[in-house]
Amino acid sequence: MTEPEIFDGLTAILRQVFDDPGIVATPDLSARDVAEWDSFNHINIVVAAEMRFGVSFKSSELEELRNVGDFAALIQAKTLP
Amino acid sequence: MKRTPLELDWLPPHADFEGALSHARILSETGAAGWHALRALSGHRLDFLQTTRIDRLLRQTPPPPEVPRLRLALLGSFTLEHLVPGLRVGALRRGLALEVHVPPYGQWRQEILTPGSGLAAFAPEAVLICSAESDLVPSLPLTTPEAEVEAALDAAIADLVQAWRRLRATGTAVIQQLPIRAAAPLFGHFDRLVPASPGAMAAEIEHRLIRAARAEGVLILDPMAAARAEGIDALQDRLMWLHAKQHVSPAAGPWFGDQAARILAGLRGLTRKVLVLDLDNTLWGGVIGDDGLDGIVIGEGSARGEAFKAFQLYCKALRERGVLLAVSSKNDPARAEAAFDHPEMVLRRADFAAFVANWTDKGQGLQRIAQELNLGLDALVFFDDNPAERALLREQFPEVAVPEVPEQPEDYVRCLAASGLFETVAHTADDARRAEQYAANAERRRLEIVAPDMDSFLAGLDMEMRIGPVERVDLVRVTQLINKTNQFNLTTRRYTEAEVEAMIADPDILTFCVRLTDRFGDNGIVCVVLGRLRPDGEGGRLLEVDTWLMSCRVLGRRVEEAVAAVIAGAARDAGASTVVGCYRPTPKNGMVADLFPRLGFHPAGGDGHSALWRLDLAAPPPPPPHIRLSVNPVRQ
Repeated sequence: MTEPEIFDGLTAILRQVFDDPGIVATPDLSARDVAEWDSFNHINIVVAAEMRFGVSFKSSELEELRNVGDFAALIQAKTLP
Repeated sequence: MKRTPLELDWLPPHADFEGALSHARILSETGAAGWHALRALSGHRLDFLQTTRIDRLLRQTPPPPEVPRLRLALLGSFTLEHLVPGLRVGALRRGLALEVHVPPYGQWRQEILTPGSGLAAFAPEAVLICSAESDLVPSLPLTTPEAEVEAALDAAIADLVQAWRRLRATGTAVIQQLPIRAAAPLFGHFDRLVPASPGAMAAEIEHRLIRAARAEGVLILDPMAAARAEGIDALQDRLMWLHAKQHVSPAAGPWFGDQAARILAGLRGLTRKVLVLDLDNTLWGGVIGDDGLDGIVIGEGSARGEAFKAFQLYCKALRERGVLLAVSSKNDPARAEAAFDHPEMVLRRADFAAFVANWTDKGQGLQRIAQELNLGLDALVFFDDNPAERALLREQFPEVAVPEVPEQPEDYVRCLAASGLFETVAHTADDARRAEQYAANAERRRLEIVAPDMDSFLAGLDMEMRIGPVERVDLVRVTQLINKTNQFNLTTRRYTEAEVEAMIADPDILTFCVRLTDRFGDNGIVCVVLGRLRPDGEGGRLLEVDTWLMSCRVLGRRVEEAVAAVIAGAARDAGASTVVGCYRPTPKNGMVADLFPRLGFHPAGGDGHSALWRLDLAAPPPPPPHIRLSVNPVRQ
């Protein structure tokens, strides 16, 4: 899957999770930038990404994520043909 | 490997979720229309993000005043907050407004024990206890002898039963979720033979929990019943369990919430009563009008015929359970009825309480069925293989439940069972007899047509009424009636079983439970009255009628006059000089607006929400002549 496809998908997920049509997934975006990004919504984002991209994450992988860019890179690595 | 989580697959997908949600958002700013728009949206196949978004809007949208409400506390040692949206939206799907309280993480036992805790202040009407395996299964060395294992399991259950009893004593209904059995086998099949293996203990705990629940009047939520078919991974995500202590995965949250909500809706009497079936390609393969009796596919001989037969067997079992069956079919009525003479047919013409076969639209047919059975459209489930008919019905009558019938007949039973539309919280002998009672009612209506006048019709019914205080054995049926009777219900006050139990023990409350038999059979408990004795402010006492409801099956038979005469007698025996009746109007109870004046009560004021009526016991009404009365003494 290409990088733009992944960022588009993540944008759609973030918009649904936060009910905010203006939010855009950018590499630097992180939980600190969004007031409602608590642990509950964090899990919702992870689960929604698993369903949307057809991948599953390991707990060690999730613990290393710092921002949306890391998350997108992880998804890209998992969806390589 | 990830499996697809359990889905709401008996519901139709929504073609434009975003558009409908935006529309609901606009409506919610103006009032009740927003709530109804969200309810319509909740009737679709939603994933967990859609459910969360509906819930977010729902929290800002007050329910219209006529919507039943319920306060639910969600207790457990693990993460539960993520299940709240699924629960609230599941309740919304059934027209129930849910307020949910979740105590702080890991503190539910303290909350039960501490007076003045957040839980006590919330005063839940229902409590759902979500237990995980690790909550209940003790940790024992594998070589522990069987007797010691048994003792440890008994202790684990006894501890939970104590919690149930404390909760039940406050008048709340208790629902216990059976633990999700996700522990990996240690030996394999041999696990079950090692008493202290986690697998063997988990199975034992489950059996004991069910037995204890039966004895304590606690309800059960059994997520494993579905997980066994779909695989545990559809219900639980191991990573989310380890990472966030979520014993149900977020993606399965809408499904889990719907399962719990169907029990909660049952507590409020919001359960369906009638299964309306289409005929051609629903009960048999083919079209009776074209293919004829020899051409339709039903029963032994082909897999497809067996699939239709299996569906008929399931419908028949539902009927025996107390669900009414009806037919709505676009067909020639004579040919449709004759189809039931087919030798392989499981269902017979007499199994249907209402039978509508004609060429007019199905909406009219369903209205007629509701009318004949004296029920609202919201009591009906419509099961039809034709997607166009289903879509039209959903459009015309959103209050009718219309499951998304699968394409193949072998999937019909699973779809109807998965929809949970007939989920109940009690099963009584009256339920099992209901289908016969409705058939007898049709017989009574026939008699009504041939009798020369009303008095001779009523005399010909040979009615005997037995009336006495509500006894403990009546609790289940009486609570069921209190929660589901809408039309003949003067105040529509709902009480849980524990609350009714407290009332029958209260010396200042007079309770009446009325049974009626006639020449066609036993109608069971048909009427419940709860009255409170109070000082009348002038040194005497009065009896205030808190609740008076009657089953619509016995309307028009002057039963209410006989009941009024017995209440008046009992009130006088208890030292009261007056009976005060209260009528609280709802959208459904218009038929009893004039009950008190009809019975000789006089206006006694009231406010915008209720009208009060009083009956002077110096001149009580006489009982009607054609009902034989036998009165058990009222407990003092």
